[in-house]
Amino acid sequence: MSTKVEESIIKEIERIVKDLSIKKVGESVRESLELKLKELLEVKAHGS
Amino acid sequence: MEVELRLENVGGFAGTVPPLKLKRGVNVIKAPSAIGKSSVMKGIAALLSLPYYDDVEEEVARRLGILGGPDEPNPLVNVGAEKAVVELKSNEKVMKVVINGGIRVEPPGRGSFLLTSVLSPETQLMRKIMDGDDDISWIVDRLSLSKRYSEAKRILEEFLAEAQLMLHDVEQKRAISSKAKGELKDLKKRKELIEKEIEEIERKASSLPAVSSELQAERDTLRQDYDSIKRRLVELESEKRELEAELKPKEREKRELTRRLNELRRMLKEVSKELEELQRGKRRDQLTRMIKAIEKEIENLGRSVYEKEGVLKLYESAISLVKEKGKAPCPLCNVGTLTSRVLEEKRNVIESELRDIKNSKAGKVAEKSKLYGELSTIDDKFKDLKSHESELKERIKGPENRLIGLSRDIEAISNKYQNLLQETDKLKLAEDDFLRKLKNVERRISEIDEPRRKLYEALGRRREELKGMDGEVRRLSEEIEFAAIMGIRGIYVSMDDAFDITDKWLNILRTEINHLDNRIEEQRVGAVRKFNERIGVLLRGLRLSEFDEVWIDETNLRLVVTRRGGKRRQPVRSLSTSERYALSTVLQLTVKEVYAPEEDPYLLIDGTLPTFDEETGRKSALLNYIAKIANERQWIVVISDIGGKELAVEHFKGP
Repeated sequence: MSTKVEESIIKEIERIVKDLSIKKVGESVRESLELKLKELLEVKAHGS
Repeated sequence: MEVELRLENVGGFAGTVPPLKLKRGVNVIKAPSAIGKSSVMKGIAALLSLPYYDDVEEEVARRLGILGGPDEPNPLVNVGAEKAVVELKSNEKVMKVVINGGIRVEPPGRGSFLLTSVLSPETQLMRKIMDGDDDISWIVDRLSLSKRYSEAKRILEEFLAEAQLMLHDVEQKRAISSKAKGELKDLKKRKELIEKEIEEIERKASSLPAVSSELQAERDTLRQDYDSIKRRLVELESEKRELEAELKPKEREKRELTRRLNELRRMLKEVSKELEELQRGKRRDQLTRMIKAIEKEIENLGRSVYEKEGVLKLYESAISLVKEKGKAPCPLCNVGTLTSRVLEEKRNVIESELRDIKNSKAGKVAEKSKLYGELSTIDDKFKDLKSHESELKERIKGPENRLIGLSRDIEAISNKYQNLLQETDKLKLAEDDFLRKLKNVERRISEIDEPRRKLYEALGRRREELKGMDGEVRRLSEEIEFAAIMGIRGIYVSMDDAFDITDKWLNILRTEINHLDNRIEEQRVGAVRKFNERIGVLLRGLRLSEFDEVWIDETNLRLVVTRRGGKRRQPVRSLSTSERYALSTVLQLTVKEVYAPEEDPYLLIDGTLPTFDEETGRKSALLNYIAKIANERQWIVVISDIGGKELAVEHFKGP
């Protein structure tokens, strides 16, 4: 079961991917995904 | 809206060009050939597309003369100037590009402007159509959002591949951990069993009878005595070796001295013998006697010489007398009368005898001298031998004394050595005796101690086993501990959390990739449909009656062209040059309408207008259509055309 924080992160990822029409693709997507993965890890490592 | 275009040192223009006013609608830049119409078009294209290009855009920019080749000066800057400036100024904003060593654009342009908003024989679309290429996928992908989604998909796929590796890693570590946990559990059970066994053995060992202290003391004493004998025997061996080492050089010296002494004695003996022989020999006496006899003979011969010389004198006197008186008596007896002849005969006989006697005497004297020489040689030799004898006797004295000393030393060492041998023999007998006694006592102790010893051996083995197990427990615990956490992106989480996150991350990525696949397809199909819808309108608007249909096939993104009245698709490569010009113009205008962002109002048409025939009305139709759509969409279209006497802008209002 995902926590609320995790669900929110997943939603943000969906938004990043869907927002490509207005977002510069490339490194920014990579950076955003990296950030979200780290956020997911932080939630697990330190709790929400 | 009105826009003022200012150019400074751009292309063929040296210095500043009088500002050109551009309005919404169609602006025709008219000038005779080689006046700089293309420089105006390039300047606007540079301002609206620089500074960033992808590979295709960069290629177009080079062909248009906006960029130079590597290490070449920018072709947009006039050859006599250091920098070029292009400025578009309206009431709303100012756009400016300055090109010198670098490029400064404010605000930055859009690289895809060169693909969507420039109609020229050097643009990509026109070149491909002129080459007969009907593949339109590159522009559909580039100008719709599908390219962005594809790019995003590629990035997500990279994350997916990495996440799959992460999951593999997590699963592997979980498997290792699970195996290690199972092994640890089994190991702990075995350890408990062994600990119980150890307790049992210790209990049994403590209940067994122990060896008496008297027996242990007896064994210890015997062992001490035995060890002491062994030590003394070792000492004796060492002492023996020392004596042997001392004795050897002395014996060697003694042998050498004896040899030398024997040699000297032999020499002395020989000399003494020779002396004795000399002393005992008769030769010397014989010689003495012979010399005495010869001396006697010499004396007698001397006397005879005297007598004969006396007689001779008498005869000489008689001969003299005869010569005086004519006669003379016998000189010996003084009687008779002898003649001169008789006297002379007698005198000659006496002279002959005298000579013989003298010769004989001289021979004897020589013989005596020779005997004296021999006697002298014998005496010299005797003297030499005596001297040699004395010398040898002196030389013998030193070695004899040293030999006596050495013999004394050797005897003393030999005596010591003998004493050591005797002591060694005694101790060896004692050693055997003690060893026998010691073995006897140890056998008795062993008989009592054996069961306990066996138990302690078993105990030792169990404890060793336990120690090995402790090491294995530590190793497995470390393995479990190591496999319990995992670092992802420098953040450490439990292995279960890592699995959970990786699993979720994979699902997210897969979902989003799926979403992007759908979006890519949607974008492509949407873009193609928009394109197909618009191109029909354009064909009719431009009165290109030779084409019945022009559209893009959704399945393969290739251009489908049907000639009017034709029943089959017409490959682009089979079209005539003018048809390809017309087709590429239509396609480029469609691209501008469908794909250019709404906020981009500019459309540049350079070098293609002359390809349209004035007489057939096709050129007018093109201008009219562009004017119409420019009015509808609020575009600023800039078209280069030959005409007039100087560079000027004509605003074409359309029909």
